[in-house]
Amino acid sequence: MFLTVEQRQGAAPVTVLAINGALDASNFEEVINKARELVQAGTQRLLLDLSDVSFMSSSGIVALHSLVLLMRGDPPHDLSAGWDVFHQIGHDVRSGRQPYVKLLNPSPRVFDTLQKAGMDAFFETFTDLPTALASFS
Amino acid sequence: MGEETTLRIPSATLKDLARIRRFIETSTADWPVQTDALYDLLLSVTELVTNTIVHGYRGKPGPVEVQVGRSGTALVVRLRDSAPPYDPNTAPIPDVTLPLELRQPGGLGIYLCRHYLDSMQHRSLPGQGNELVLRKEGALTVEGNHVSDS
Repeated sequence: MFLTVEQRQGAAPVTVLAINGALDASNFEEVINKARELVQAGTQRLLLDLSDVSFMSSSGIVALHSLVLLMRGDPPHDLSAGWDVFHQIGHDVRSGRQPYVKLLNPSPRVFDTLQKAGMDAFFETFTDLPTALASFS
Repeated sequence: MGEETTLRIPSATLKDLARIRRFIETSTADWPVQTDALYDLLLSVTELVTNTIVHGYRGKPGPVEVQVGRSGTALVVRLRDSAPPYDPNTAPIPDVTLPLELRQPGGLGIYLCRHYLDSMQHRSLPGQGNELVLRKEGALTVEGNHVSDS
């Protein structure tokens, strides 16, 4: 898996983080660490490009939610606590999608995993870049 | 042995997850496997081996064996480890319809396995260790050889 970062300007500045490859327990912390760097560098809006994610396990779910925590200024999940993180996942979920992290082009299988985990309602998802960029305010 | 193939990793870590998936893909490359069914199996194996390494071995390297076979139109994967006995079928089922902060912790990986597999049979191995037999029915478009019972 490798990550690429691109700064784009829509209605507001947006950082596009693209993941390429398979996302599982062996590498999901790399995504979290990259997001931590981006937040420290000033990123406030993150579009996660999943176009080239060939595979995503439940560890990817943890990574995606950790990005939301980081973007809204909360500490990411304590990974040393194991996998008991899903109950921590944010008070704004009940009110619908959060505005910090959005998804671009997840494959049907990746989106299916998000749905099975009940996370699809948490992330606004787009199939084209211009629309995704324009959605950030 | 029929059409079964086996991968034995004496000191498996999370870095071996991709290798295990590649092994399963290679082993089934010449079989008429439906793509979605294979993905279901790859995801399930990834979740279960992750659990073995993270929880069973507490993050330390340990032996993992992966055997791939087919039975009729089912794809069958047998996982073996040397971790303390644990049957993932006994894990509580998370209610993913609840607000996230009200859900019981953990268990998402096993929840996904239950969703994507048709069965997941566990037995404790003599001494120490676990064997899980994972079945994905209807994964093959043509009936194949039966897996051995050994």
